[in-house]
Amino acid sequence: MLFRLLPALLPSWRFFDSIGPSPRIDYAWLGATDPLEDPQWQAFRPLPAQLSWWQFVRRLFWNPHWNETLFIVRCAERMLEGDTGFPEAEIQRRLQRAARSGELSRAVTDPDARLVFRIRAVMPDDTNAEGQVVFVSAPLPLGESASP
Amino acid sequence: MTLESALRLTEILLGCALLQQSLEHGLGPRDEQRIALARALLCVALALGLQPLLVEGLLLGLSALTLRRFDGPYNGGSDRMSVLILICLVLSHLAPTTRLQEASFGYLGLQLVLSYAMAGWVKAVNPEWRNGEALRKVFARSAYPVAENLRALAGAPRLMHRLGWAVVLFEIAFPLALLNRSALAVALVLAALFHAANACLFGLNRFLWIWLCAYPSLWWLQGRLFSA
Repeated sequence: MLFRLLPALLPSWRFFDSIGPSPRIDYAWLGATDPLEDPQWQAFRPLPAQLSWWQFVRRLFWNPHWNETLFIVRCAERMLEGDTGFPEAEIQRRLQRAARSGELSRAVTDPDARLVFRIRAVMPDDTNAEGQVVFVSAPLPLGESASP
Repeated sequence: MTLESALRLTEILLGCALLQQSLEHGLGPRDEQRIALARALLCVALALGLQPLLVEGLLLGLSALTLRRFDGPYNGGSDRMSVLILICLVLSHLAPTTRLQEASFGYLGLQLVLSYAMAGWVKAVNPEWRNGEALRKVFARSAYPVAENLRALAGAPRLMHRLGWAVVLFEIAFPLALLNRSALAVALVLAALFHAANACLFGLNRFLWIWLCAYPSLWWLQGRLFSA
């Protein structure tokens, strides 16, 4: 486990050396038996239109929501790079948690509704600001089996 | 600034910075909360100077646990800097001679210089940074801007070009500040403002606080190397 600490001894410090595709995460609700066809996608944590000066200052000291969002974006970037497993499971887990907390607006009233998410890759040079869908998850149950 | 006072100041700043991170993780899932609580308690002990070697060792162990939990860093470079500072502090306490203690702590100052110089170099060799395109893309398309209205800055190519060059030149020239105490003071203030701007525009608040923690090591190193 301590092996994980070693890269910090010789960091690369290559911040923003190139600007690659940027992931966006959307989610949708499906009824218990709905097929995964053209659901109503909604952006996960869309950006606010603007922030006040007070919000800028407050976020210097208290920014847990945004830092979690950046971590989820990093997981999605890893999936764009072909790394599945942990990143996908972690996005699932955090979306399920957000759904259970009521953060995700819910159009489907079915108590057995399932959650599905997708990842769009927005290319820095592309004129299409919506990007391309590169991943669609399997429907996720929100049962007790998922950890909080 | 003496080595002892620089070490102590680093420990106080690090205790505060990691406490801030730990409190943020307190809102996370239950397994994160447990680690965050343990880390928060250790941060208070670190800031108070209680058993620094033991506390720093435990914080390093928790960092390893955190890296395993998130399958890597949770917050990229800021996590790497946290671990680097902890390792340098632990080695400074373990060092059997003053020279080795200075080398351990000086290594942190050296890495701080490299963090700016390397970041500037990789941008300088990228044509997109030289023509302002890279910064335009960051504002236009990346996931970093914290509000939609900030994306409009991408529509000001002259501003992007100038800001891009300002970042590259500042980062590359940063090592020169080591030659003069006053220049270093100015460079550190500018660097802190740069991190504060990144925190406001891109929400990278943890970078601001954790990079500040490494400043005493560079202040001390400059004095050690260049003062009579």
